[in-house]
Amino acid sequence: MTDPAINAPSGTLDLLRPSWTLKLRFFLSENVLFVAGVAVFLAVVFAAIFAPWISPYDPSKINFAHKLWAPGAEHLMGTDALGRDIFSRVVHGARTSLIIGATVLTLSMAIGIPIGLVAGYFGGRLDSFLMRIADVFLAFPPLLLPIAITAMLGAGLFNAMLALAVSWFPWYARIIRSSVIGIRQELYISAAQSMGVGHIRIMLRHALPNSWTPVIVQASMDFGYTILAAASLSFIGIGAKPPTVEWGLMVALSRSKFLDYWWTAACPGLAIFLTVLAVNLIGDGVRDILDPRGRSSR
Amino acid sequence: MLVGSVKAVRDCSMVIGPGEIVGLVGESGSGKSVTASACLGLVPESGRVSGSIEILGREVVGRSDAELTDMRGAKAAMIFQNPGTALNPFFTVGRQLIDIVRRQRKLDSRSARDAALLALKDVRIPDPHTALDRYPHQMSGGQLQRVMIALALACEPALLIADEPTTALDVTVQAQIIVLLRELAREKNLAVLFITHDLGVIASLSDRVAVMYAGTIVESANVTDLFDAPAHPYTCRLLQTIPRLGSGDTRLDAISGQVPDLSRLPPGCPFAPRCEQSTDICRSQEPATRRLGEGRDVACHHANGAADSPPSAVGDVA
Amino acid sequence: MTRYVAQRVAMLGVILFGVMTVTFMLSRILPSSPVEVMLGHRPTPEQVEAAKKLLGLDRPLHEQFVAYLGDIATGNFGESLLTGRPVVSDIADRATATFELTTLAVLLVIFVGVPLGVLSAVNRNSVVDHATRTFSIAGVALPVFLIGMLLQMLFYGSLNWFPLQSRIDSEVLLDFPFEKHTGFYLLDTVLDGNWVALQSAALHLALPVLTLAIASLAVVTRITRNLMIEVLGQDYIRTARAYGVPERVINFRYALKATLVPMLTVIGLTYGFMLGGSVVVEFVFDWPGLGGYVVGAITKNDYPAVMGVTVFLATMYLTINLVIDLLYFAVDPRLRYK
Repeated sequence: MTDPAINAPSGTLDLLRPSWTLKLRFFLSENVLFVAGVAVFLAVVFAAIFAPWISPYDPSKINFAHKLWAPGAEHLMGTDALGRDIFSRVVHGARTSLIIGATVLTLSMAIGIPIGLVAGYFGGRLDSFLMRIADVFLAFPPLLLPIAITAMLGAGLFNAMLALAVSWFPWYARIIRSSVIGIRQELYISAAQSMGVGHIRIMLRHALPNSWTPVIVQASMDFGYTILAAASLSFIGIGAKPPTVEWGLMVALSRSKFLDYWWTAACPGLAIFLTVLAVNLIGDGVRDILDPRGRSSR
Repeated sequence: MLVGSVKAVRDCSMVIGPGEIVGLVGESGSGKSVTASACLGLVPESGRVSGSIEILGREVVGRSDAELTDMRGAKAAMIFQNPGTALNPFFTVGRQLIDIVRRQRKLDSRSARDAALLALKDVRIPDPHTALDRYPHQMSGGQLQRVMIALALACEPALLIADEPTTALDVTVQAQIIVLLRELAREKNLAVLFITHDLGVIASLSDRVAVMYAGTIVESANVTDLFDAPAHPYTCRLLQTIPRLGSGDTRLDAISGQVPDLSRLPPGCPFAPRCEQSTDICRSQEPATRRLGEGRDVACHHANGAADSPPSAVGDVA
Repeated sequence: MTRYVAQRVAMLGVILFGVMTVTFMLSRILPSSPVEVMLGHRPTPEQVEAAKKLLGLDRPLHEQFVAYLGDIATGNFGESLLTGRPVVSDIADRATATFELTTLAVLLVIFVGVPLGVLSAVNRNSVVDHATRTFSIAGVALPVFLIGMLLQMLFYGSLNWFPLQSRIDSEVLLDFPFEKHTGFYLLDTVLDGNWVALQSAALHLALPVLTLAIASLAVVTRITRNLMIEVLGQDYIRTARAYGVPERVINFRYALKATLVPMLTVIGLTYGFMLGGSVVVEFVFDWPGLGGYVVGAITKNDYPAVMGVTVFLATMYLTINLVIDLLYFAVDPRLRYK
């Protein structure tokens, strides 16, 4: 009994039983931007992890003899006003930025998710109260609250990250809360309650796992914004401080010279741009995959 | 992975004359709404229309939006299924009516306003003056559908295309709208193409009926002939499925099987898989439309007393 | 409707109270006491005690809070540790500079971003559409300070079309002075018929406004595009088309009006973003506004100033959002008539 597929024209076989390579090729062609974003992001992660091995020079090594050299063979991205190799500093900066992004988001979620869970689950006065608090934090124009908090706590990268996390948590609280409210109606929660299962247990085992999707979508879109915000804070002088290597700080340090020595500002700037762009593209892709309703922009 | 095209309408030929109400019946997915959209060139960009549709002697197929502007409304007007969403919620009913009437009939604002009021009176809207200043969300479904009909009539078209206008309404309101449409069609000598899936509505409204299945017209006849002596097996089954009070039936009758997937139609008659009378020829050869008598066409190999005759080539409104 | 207004105003009050609480708590948790900053380095303990008493910092926390609220209500934001003047005066001097900047930027975003988004939606997959979408994606990834510096490099460094920084040439201010009627230089110079100063002010505004606008432009264009696409798919647009309304009218009247409501929200958020972003932009362009004031204050540990500006800007932001909420009534008939 011959397999009829063998006699079919070669292309047809693919359509009848798509192999995983075909599915992958299809996915790649449909989501070019997403794939590009992932590729660039992986490059950044690679740079962050292997920074000490990739950097041709010590990022903090001052060398006045090589001061303000244009990009060339010896220094891929040129040198800054103190003769430090910009490429090495950019590579090390990748570490800083990725850590910032991850830390701020984690902290933000750590604060926001429990608040949202509690608000959504219990509802009523507690819900209103918690949401008012969230509204208060959202009442500040972006960046202003982090600036105020960092100013009070004292400049420094950790304080800046804390400030950003505290300013950003309302979004996650709201998302989880919406999700939980939607799920609260579900029968199995009522069932668990009627069986006397404790509130916390219900929240953790039922409400939370089903609310992950919008949180992931939001986080993937926020990652880029976090890096930008941290860079901005460093730029105005209240975020990372020397000797920390951070891209925003590098641009700030280049301010006195950048008009004549464009690479001192452009190279770290480009690093920020490419990283945030990559992360945003990934975020868009994640959102398209997890929440196809938003796909109207095709 | 979906690749390919779907022929929503494969062969549809009709002629509608002035003052005539033609009903187009079919289940969801039979292609009737697409046919209606095509009459005014409203098929979405991803679709293609071939063949010929002439309204008052002018070709519609292949025309651009700009070319069709003076036909839409003035020559043929369409009313839609969901009156609640058919009007722009951000403008008053009057504003939308007057704007369109002004454009289609080339009137100045005062005359357009008068025309709008007149149309609202024709459709029996109470207190038309206040109605003009209302917003769509302030009116009920039935009222809004009357407004839509008024809009259509105010443009003084030769053809009215009604795409399931009563499906979204209550039964009592449905009856009112149907009566209204019948009266207006007679009064204004309007040609009407009435599309629905409800046989009861067809029976009370149309002069002639065309039955559509899987993108083709399988039978067309005048309404009495169709209901008294249906020729196509699909029509027969449709009529059988109408529940009758007092018949003692305790179960609802339904046609076994499912509407075919239009992207993968088997050869032969599309109804063959579900037809009790299907034979080999039904499954291999698509039946041609044959004339059974005066104004009666059927596309079936087994229709009674069929004589071969070429199907009418165009859908005209004379 | 008045009930809704009352509700919203009450809400504003509650949130404002919350804002005050947050700023109050912030100003009391500093690691270094403002007293020490005021008195200079290494004051004696007696001096510190005396100063604390003077500032009321030795009283219990809730008493301090009530005093703080009272102060704010009467417009007393304390005195700047730097300038010695009441913070309120400093703010008053500099607020118009910031508002001129942000208002112009918002106008730019609305009058360029919205039409671009509409064009993009109406001509999907055209060159304009692809260009706009690319710009949207890229514009959001660039940090505001970098945009500013790039513009400086290009339009000042290379082309020398626009000045590097500041609000107006100091020579122009000396030789062609004008009366500061409103604090908005564009208005004031026109009112005085002082064309030289007007030109200088306008040139100085160009790059900062552009910088502030670009990031928001990217977002607004994208949102407008998506909104328009959604609206254009609605039934009532199909009806308009079915009755021969020409495409231009459909796009720019019927469809656009439907996007107005969500657009209002976006504009509110944009203004907020700009109030925050102005801090960075003012720093880059040495703009004499609130942003520059705040940054200067932070680096000199001038806490009253920082808190004062924060409270002020937060209040502005809340007010703008309230106004927008009320504008919904004007724009959406479904809210007006129940």
